[in-house]
Amino acid sequence: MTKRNIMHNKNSNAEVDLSLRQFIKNLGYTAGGLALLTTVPWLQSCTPEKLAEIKNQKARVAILGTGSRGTYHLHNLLKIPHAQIVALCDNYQPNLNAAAALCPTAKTYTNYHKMLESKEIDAVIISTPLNWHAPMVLDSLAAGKHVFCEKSMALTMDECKEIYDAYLKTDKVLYFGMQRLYDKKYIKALQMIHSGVIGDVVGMRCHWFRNHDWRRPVPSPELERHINWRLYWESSAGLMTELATHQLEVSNWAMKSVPESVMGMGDIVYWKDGREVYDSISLVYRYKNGVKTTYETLISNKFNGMGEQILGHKGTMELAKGEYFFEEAKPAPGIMQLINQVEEKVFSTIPVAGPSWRPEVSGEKKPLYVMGEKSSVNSGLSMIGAEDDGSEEMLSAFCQASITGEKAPNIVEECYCSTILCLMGNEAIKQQRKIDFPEKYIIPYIKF
Amino acid sequence: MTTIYYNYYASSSLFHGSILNIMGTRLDLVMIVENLAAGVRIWDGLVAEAKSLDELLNRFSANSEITKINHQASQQPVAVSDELWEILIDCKLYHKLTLGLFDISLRNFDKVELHTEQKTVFFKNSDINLDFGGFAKGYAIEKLKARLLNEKITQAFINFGNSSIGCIGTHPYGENWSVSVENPFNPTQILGEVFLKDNCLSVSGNTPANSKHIIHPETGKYVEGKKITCISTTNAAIAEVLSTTFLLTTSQEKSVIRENFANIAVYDEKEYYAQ
Repeated sequence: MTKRNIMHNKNSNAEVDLSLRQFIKNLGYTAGGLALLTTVPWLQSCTPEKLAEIKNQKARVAILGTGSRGTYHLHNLLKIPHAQIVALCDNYQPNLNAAAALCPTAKTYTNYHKMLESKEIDAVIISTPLNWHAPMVLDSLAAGKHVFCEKSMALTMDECKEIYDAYLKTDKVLYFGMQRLYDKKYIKALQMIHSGVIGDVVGMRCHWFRNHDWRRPVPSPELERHINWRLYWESSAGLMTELATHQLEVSNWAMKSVPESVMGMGDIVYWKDGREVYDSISLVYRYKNGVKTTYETLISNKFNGMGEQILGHKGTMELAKGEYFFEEAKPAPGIMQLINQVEEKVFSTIPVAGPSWRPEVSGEKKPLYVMGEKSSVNSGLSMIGAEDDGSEEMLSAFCQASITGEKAPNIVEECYCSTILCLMGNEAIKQQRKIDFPEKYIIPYIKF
Repeated sequence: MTTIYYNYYASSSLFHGSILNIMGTRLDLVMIVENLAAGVRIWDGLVAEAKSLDELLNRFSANSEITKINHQASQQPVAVSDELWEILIDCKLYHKLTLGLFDISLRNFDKVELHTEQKTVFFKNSDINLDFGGFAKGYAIEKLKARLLNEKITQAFINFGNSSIGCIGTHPYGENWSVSVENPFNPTQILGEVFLKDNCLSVSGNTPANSKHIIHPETGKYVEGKKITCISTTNAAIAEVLSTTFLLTTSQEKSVIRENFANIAVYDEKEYYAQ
């Protein structure tokens, strides 16, 4: 992507969307047809041509849950040409009013069952506390709506399985907010990993660090559990389901398999303010071949930010930064250009000729960039959402699917696996022992 | 530290191998090959070849054959291997054809005695040292190319420290391999482009970090200035010889040398003056 594109993107959501779509189209092209796209099947319906087919059509969308994340989606929906927000629903009136002010033409509801009765709604976007995901997803599908639900999938493993079973039966489109699946730098980096650029994957390190109490202001004490739902087990599975889901999903994507077991610890180290969920977690997930993902999260120190490192025997991929490093040395810049040209099926001059070249003596490791230049980096500090992280693109793809009815394979499966893994992590902490992937939750998609 | 690595890009059947710190610089190979296993097998052969040439020709390496000769040949005639013998004979020929300007002794090649029957070398001056810096990389490219051709590789690009480049066939998506010559004194500036196909390029000149490395054999002084010469031809060793030589010549010498090489090689020459 050129610099001009990046600047342009900041101003226009439609451009962001088209840039991903063009990228997807190019993926198919570079692989000589569908060969490469088959490795990312959920993207097959997202080419610019497929978008053109639904020109002038609009998905009639309802937002269920108009808190911070719901409002983030609302802003994005307003910029998607093939989406029309027709309904808003929340049981917290101040948030509902704020959303209604942004979208005055939408009908408002405080009871989602009532909203689901409406024949005017094609699709529901759910961004509510985790304990509400399962009933709302199941009810929405049963009401004949297409559904986009925020991650994680649900509060318990049983609920996840129930959603998965409903997904197998429904003819509706079901998405979960695993936006890394729609983030160009992740897509490209994962394809590089799978083509062997960093060698065999031998380990993974994922972390998410913030220095913030993770609270929202509460206007009156009886609203504490309603507003700070993230902090209590009845409505949340804590940092695992709010943050780790994305990163465990990426680990599985890199490994093309799912860990068999997890061990670890979790505690409330710093924010001893009456919350129930841990503010410090360290876990080790083990894949069948012995490769491990170490997962760390802490919300009283932000020095390390957010990151996913895929460690290969020849190099390291820093997914969140879109950077990679070789263990021993990096290809000379001109040679790297040549390799990229051939990979992208283009030809041009490479700057490699000159009088004697001297090897660099500096031991400092300089990054190579997955996208050819520095990518915008999600610091992980925002509690709502980051710019250019695939969220807008995923939402646009969902709205398109709500018009065409075309399902996107793997999204539900990926979210299912990573949510179960998050919940297994919490179990390992609570039971202070190794937890194996429970047999009753193994689905055919899973390869260990 | 391991100084060798490779990568295979399966989606484009592209193999990239790299050796750092070989012959005082780095070697990169990019080739199109059907699979990783074949790529590794060929690459291993090239690495062995390049290492053995380093053992033969690198005068900065303690155990190389040339180091042994440099130490002993001023005391007594030293027997040399067949391969080194052939190289010495070639260098003597190029010395003659370039009017003495291409000189691996850096001073006075006439004082290097080559005894054809015994295949020995003797230095008649005690301060002589042989240096293949202006020849070895081109020679190595020729040998590596021969191996690749023998392995039926039809598209390959070999870069020896940017100053010596050899190729087989064309870029997979182009009609040639197109390289630009960078101004070493201003890396953002491109001095020119060279299109290569089944041939080689040698570039000679000074760089800011390395402004004293080419000695004029007649004056014994380092070549100064910012002239850069490029020779592209089918034989990488000849490209090396001429790019170094043309850095040193007067225009009169140059026309004689051109005539001398007229029957030996067809080549393109380019000259840049970097600022």
